[in-house]
Amino acid sequence: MPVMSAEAVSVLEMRGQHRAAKILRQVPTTGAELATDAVDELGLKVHRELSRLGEELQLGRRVASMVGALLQQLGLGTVTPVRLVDVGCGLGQVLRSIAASGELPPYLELVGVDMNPVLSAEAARLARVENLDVRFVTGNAFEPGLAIGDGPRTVVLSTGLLHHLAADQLVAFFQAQAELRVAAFAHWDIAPCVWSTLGAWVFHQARMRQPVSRHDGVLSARRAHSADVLVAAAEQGAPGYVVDVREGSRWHPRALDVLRPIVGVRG
Amino acid sequence: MSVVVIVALVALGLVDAAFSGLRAGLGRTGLVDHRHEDRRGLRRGAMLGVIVSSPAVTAMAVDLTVGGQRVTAYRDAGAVFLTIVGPYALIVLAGLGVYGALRWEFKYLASAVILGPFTLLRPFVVLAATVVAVRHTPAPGVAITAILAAASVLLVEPVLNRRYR
Repeated sequence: MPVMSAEAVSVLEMRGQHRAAKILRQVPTTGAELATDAVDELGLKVHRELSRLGEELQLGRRVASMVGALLQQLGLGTVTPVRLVDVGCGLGQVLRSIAASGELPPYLELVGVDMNPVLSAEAARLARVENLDVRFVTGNAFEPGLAIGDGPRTVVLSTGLLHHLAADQLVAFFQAQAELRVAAFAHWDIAPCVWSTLGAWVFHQARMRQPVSRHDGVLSARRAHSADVLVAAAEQGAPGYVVDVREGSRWHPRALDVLRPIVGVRG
Repeated sequence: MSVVVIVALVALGLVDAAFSGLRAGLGRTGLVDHRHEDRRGLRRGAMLGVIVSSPAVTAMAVDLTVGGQRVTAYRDAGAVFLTIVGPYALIVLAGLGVYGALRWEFKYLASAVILGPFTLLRPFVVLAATVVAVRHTPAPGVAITAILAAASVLLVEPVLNRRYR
């Protein structure tokens, strides 16, 4: 979709995001539009850096540990495959690292979905390069049949996705999963507090090279949803699920809560 | 004593350059198994560290031979430099050790508490150590060498980052 550079800069300026506007002005244009190739290239660079950050935060192992426990709790047998779907998977680092480590049982199918075709194509290429059994598709993860065929034998996950949704979009997000009757969902995101904002600043300054990554990392922590907002949205959108956010207290976060999941299990 | 200081400075410089190369190479491929890229980064950093430090080494050699400067002047400045950079390096190495020793759930804490913040502090520590060493020495040649050496330490990562683009 073509984006008019001046228009996008103007929107950011209007919202008081002067630094973001300055960064956007540096992105090459074709005529008045942002150059697609440059945007795609930047997106790949940012996501490669994000993959490295996710690795440092041990996201693959955190997800594998939680999903392993969920599979036991759900009592899903091994006769028919169970599918693990990563929504908004980016370069699919989480699923690819799970596949590489072999930490989850082999009857689990790993499927990553992203709206961005450049990212999902690159994720698929990386999986091929490392000979990893993970499938990546492009599109809306909740479009029936795209990634989720048999809801009751599907566990849906995401990492760092929820803060990209506005509070009023959360209900629909959980509702879509409930309508597909998925067995469970687990969505990891930043717990909004002073520690996470400070941590995001330090981590992104120290580990990310792209100015847009450094800028967006802190914003992500600031716009993350509180546990109350997430639980309310999940309970409204997916009333048939037992939902909880697994995090420590606000002022004394548990050491493990670098990203915490909201988990829903179909009752 | 002079040998100990020089060996410590050279070793620190090489290790720092290698880690600069490692950092410059991280997050470039998206691969899960990036050990090959990591080793390449370490090698590139160390090699570039040797290359960019050659002006400092040359300046020191000229100062010692042609300028008639005494080795003790370099030893004293190096020792002052080490009093600031040494503790920093020890903390970072301890952080790496802790990172290696911790269970996977806690590994990121070593990054969050030590490795991440100390990566941010690194240029300031090098600058502070250089300023103190330069102020401490009465010899202009030693001061010039110290500035060139500090510049070389800080150049490795930006140069490699630009080359990756």
